[in-house]
Amino acid sequence: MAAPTAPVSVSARRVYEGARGQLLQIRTLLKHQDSQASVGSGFLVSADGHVLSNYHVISQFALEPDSYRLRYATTDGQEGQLELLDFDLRRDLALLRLLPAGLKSRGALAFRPQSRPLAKGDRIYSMGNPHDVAFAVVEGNYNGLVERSLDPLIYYSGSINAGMSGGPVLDEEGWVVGVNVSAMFMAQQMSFLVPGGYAQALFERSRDAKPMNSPAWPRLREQLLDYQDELTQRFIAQPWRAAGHPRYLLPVPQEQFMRCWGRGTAADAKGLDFQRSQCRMEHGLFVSPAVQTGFLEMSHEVYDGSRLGAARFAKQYSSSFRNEALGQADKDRTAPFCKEDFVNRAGLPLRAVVCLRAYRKLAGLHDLTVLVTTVDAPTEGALGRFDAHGVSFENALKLATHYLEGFAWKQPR
Amino acid sequence: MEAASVIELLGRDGQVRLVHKVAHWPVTIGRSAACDLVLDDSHLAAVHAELLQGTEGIELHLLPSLNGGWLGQRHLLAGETVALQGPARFGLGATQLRWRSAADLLAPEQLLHRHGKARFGNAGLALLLALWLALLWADQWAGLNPGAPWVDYSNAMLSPLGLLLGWAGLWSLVTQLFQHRFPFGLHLRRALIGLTALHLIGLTVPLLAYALSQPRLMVLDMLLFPMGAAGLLWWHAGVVWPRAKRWLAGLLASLLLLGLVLNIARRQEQQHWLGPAYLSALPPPLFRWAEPVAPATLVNQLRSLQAELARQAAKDNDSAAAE
Repeated sequence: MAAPTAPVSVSARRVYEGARGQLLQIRTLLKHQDSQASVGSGFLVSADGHVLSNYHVISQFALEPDSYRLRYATTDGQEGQLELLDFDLRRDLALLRLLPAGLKSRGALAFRPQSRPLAKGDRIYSMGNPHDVAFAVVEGNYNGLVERSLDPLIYYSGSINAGMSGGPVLDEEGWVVGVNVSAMFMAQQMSFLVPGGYAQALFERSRDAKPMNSPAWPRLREQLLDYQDELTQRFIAQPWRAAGHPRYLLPVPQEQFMRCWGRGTAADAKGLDFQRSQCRMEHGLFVSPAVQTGFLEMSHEVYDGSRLGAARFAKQYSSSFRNEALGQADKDRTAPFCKEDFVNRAGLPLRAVVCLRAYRKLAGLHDLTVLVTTVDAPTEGALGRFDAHGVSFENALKLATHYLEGFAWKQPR
Repeated sequence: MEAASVIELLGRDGQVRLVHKVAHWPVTIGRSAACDLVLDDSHLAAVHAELLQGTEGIELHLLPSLNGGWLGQRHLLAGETVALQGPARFGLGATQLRWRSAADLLAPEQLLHRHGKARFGNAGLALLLALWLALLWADQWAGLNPGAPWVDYSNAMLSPLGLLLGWAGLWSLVTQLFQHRFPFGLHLRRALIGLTALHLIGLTVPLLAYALSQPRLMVLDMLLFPMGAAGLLWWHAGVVWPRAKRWLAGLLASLLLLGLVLNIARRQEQQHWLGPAYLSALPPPLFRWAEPVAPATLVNQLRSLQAELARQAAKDNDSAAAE
């Protein structure tokens, strides 16, 4: 027997009752069978049958329209076909439309005006169809925007489960304030919403677009090229932070849209003493289950081998350097192609390896990896790594230069 | 007068098992005790064949039998007579024989292995073993933290030592099987020379690649190891099958080539067909001989990769993403 569920508040019942007519389950089915490949949620935003959802809910159809088709199901069991009009990869949104004669008289959910921002702690209600079990309403709180995120993302303290992606999140008055997008693994009630303004902008921008019936790679490429330009410019515009090393200046990013973590060896360790700092953008762009791109990550490890001596330090330093994985050729990207040399960075000698992998279906986009080690001292060193996913060739070169220039002596020599 | 002759009975490995000095002509060959050369081969008739002096020299004459004989690829039937040009190898039943006379040229005398041993005595062998163990110890020492207990070294040295002794022992047993001697010291010496050389190459090549900033030198490291291993195999096998050295060299070279071709075929989409993606050796600053370049110089070198990356990206690849 199932455990009794928590009682839904009167407000939740009222909000759900007001929105259930516009709430949809969105399924991606195989083209010629009724087997479902993925399920998500969506909601009607116009009387003409426009539906908003997440891009990742319909990505299989977007990339392989010859193999998949889209269908919706309403809370009262009606079903029908959907077509894809446009998507916003950066915000993980998709605009769909019911095929003619479907549900056009059901009305639409409206967006909360930008002039009336929510306050931290406001009750909001997430809706969707978790795990294809049943339509559900989940009560939670608006907790402002996620800090250190490149794009605004609402932090929602409520449970969003798989299948609810693309569902609407409404305020007490039934206005759409956001769209379910993701939840944090291994965390309690930590979920994220795309602010409603972006969904509204996509709807208004593309409501009259022609249906997309061919693979969406060109549109994805176009959006990714725009995005990586902005990402690169904003990243390079930030000065490096100090790493606090007594000997070297090491590139550490501002925590504007990256989050950093550190760890080190125990104080009583007998061998190589090291401290590691790792920074990464926590939200990449979902292109397909195999390709998440459009993010930066970097790390550095600082080694003190004074207890080891030069020979032992060289061996362990080399082992750390050898462990850096660069990836292999696969369905989506080429193998890494690299250049390496000793680099003079304002007098500080470095060994640097710069590698690029090209995307096969997103022509002109690359993954960049830069590995840098200091090579001036027999028992001391720093190993840095920078990764940029989904950047143009020119921006890859700019980012590589920017990263290399982050290394120098602490005191000019 | 005809030169002195012998008939040699050959084993399956081509080695001579028995030498019969010809005292008179004709020489009868068969299973019968009445024959001049008595052979224990159930595929022979009682008196199977005879060697006799003909007008054109020595001739082989086949007597009545079921199996006849062979001269090269030619099957000889009962009643046939063929002239032999010395040294001549021929078959009777399942037995391989060779006739040769004093007029035939002999292969040069082989140096006894004992002479080689004298050049490289037990002291040399012990020294080589000590050098190899020292290299193993140094390798382990460099990977351990100061104060590591001695048992941490024991495994790293005793396991390879056990394998080395087992390897030399195995080759000695194989030699015993084919050569009827047990040259353990010889195989041990050859294995030690090979392993020490490979170890030293493994240390030197990355140092050199780093010092000169020539990462492609690591191709040598990658090539020399299989070549060295194949060379070592050939060296051991040469003791066991000294007559087959050329054939063995051909076989091992073919296997090496096949391995190389397969490796290259697997790495068609890689930047380099051979060697690691980048040089990971970071020896002390003393070994940095090459001049460093400006960051922009290194970054600009990437431009030469753009077209090749685009070409590679245009290829299909069905491998699933590893990430």
